[in-house]
Amino acid sequence: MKIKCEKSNFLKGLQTVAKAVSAKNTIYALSGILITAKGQEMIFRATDIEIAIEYRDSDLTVVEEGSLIIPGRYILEIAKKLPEGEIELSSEGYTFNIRYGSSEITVNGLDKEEFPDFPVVEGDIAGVFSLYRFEKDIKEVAVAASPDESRPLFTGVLFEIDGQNVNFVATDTHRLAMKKSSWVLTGKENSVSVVVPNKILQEIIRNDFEEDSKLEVVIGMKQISFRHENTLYVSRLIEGKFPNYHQVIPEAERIKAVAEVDASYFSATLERAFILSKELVREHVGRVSIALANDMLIVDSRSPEMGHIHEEIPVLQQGEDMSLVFNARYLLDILRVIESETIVMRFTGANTPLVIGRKDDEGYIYLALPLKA
Amino acid sequence: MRVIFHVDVNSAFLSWSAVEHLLLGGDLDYRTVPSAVAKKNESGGGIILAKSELAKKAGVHTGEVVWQAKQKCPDLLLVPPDYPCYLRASHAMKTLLREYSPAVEAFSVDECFLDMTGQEKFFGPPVEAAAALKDRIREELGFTVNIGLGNTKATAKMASEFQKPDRVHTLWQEEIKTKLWPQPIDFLFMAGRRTVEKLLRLGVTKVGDMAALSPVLIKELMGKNGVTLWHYANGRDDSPVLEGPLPPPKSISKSVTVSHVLKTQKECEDVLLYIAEELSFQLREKGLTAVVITVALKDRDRRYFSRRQKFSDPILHYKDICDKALPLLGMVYPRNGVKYLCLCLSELSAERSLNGLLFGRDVFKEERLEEAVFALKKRYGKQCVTTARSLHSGAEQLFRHFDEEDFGGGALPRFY
Repeated sequence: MKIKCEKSNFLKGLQTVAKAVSAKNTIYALSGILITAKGQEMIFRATDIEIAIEYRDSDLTVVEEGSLIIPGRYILEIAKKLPEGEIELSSEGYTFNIRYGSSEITVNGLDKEEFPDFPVVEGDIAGVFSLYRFEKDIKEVAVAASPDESRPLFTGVLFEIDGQNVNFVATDTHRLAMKKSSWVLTGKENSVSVVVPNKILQEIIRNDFEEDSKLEVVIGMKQISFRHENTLYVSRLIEGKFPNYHQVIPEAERIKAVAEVDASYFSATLERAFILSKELVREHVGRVSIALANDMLIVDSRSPEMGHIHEEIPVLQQGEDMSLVFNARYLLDILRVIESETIVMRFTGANTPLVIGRKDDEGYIYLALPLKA
Repeated sequence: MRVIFHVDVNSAFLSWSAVEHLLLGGDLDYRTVPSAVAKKNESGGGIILAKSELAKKAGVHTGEVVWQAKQKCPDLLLVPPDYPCYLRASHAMKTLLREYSPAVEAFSVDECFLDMTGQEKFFGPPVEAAAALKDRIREELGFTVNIGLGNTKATAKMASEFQKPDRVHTLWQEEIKTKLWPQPIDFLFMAGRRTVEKLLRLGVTKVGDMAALSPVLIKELMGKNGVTLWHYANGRDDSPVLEGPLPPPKSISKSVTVSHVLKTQKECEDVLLYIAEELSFQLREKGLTAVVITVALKDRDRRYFSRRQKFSDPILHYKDICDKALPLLGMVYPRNGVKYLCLCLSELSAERSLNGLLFGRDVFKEERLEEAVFALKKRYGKQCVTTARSLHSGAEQLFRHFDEEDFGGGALPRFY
């Protein structure tokens, strides 16, 4: 194998697939990145069995074809520190060479045969998302997913597909987010529900995208693939039955009060309140009490040792006065990602979910349970 | 230079049992005959926990099996342990010691450190003060103590180890060469069996040999703890006498070593569930929740295995602990049986706010149940209510004779 390219090409390829490099290397080859030079392309591949990422780059010169597994993390660290400019990558036996200027780095690689076959997802459920919109939708929904690996089902995002319509849903059992979206079918008309690990979704939406970016999706029996330009993402689907989330979304008649709030204002208030309320040991819990009365949203938080904070935010109120205790984290998480200047808070009671929506988009809801008053 | 006292009760458990026996109208003072406090274990054997001076002269050791002790000393009188009584006695002693210094650190149930720096004004020269204190404990509380005096906690502790019982010894900085260095290496504070074996292999037989070694070499051979020992050997120890209540716990755990191995995973689960019940009681008592659960065990060959997991939701309920601990046990369960089993809850926090669930269980209902069970146990004792599985599994039997692990529990009437 011999390739001539810019350092930036090499680094981009490594960085794109790095997330799929296995951190727990029980199988040594999985801690590596498979590099292949073929035709006019250089292909980077990595997998930790759960997810797999492939990146193709043809903006370089392949002098000699070949393939080798190189140690993922080492090469990435080295590549970051290489000087800018042209480099030459080559392999001889199981060693990998990086030549830059008159200098050279040699690292030990591994036979390409050790690398597992790259998964190919086949299925007739396929379609195309606008990546620009997909990124925003997933951000607003995935905040409700759980990081707790002991309950895998809740670490993913539900794709509920019915023809052109796609609902994204995530929950950690204390809160839930749902977004009504759509895609362009390229496969058969079908309805299906799958749970996609949040890990791969976060990887896909890591960058900013142009408005016309496309994301091609194929859903198989156990796996799902996403392709954006030169990058292919494959992930296993999470098994299990997602709970019936429709039943937890309150019907209109259960809404007792509605308030329209300026998102950035509310967010700033909560950030301040959270500092006083958060408990040092467990950073993600912060008790704040929220009251709605006289067209004011009143936020209070007190810590026995530190002191207390009291803020009043003018709002548009409809319905009853309300009062509830909340984990500020649950509100801050959503305010950080919501793409709307004004949010609509719908109150159902002191011990029943608070529903937050966008003023400009009825298709999005986020709901969370209050803390026990 | 500080002045530190180390007060150490002579044959603590035996002395306290003897005093209690006399107080309740008994005629025999256990301390005047060869006697020992022995814990029965489930196989009917037993282990010597403490012994009288006469039993000691007959060669009885602490930790020895009862039948061995009986062979050495056929007329050995055996007394069962009475932990509530020991707690009362320990408490009475600490209360008395607080009259002498604001800084009293309970080092164990029968040992205390006192920082007596600058207290000469009130109690006279240290040696005289110590002698008076020792006599007062004997007169008022009925048992004898050794008091060790030193400039550091380590030297004070070692001083109290010199001749027993009912003595005051000093190990001041200027006495280290003459009094400490000639002692055998196992006399050194914090030198455990393993460490002593290692040092003996290196030819270090006396504390003085240790003191003379180069700290660089010690660090190389024995790591950081070795260097700490080296400082102790040279009479250096700047750790303060910690007064007041202990800092909040970092973790709570309970473990058991069984005499016969637990042969099936189900048996282990029974024990784990029993421990979970106990720990959930303690969590609630202390007003804490945990987010990390660790299950540890030793197999038949005493190999150690453990698994820990961190959860995103605070754990408090018995049911939660069980649901999360049992899969961890499944991951470490060895084929050849379990000798030791431990459940530990850590990353504790006082955040107790309950957040409801959108799906499935009603945590508030569970909370009411757990709170009710807690209230019952608190009022009528931990045995008054339990799960059906624990009732029939017999796991509780394993702990019946190991209740020193419950040392912190229960408000008991004071005899003294």
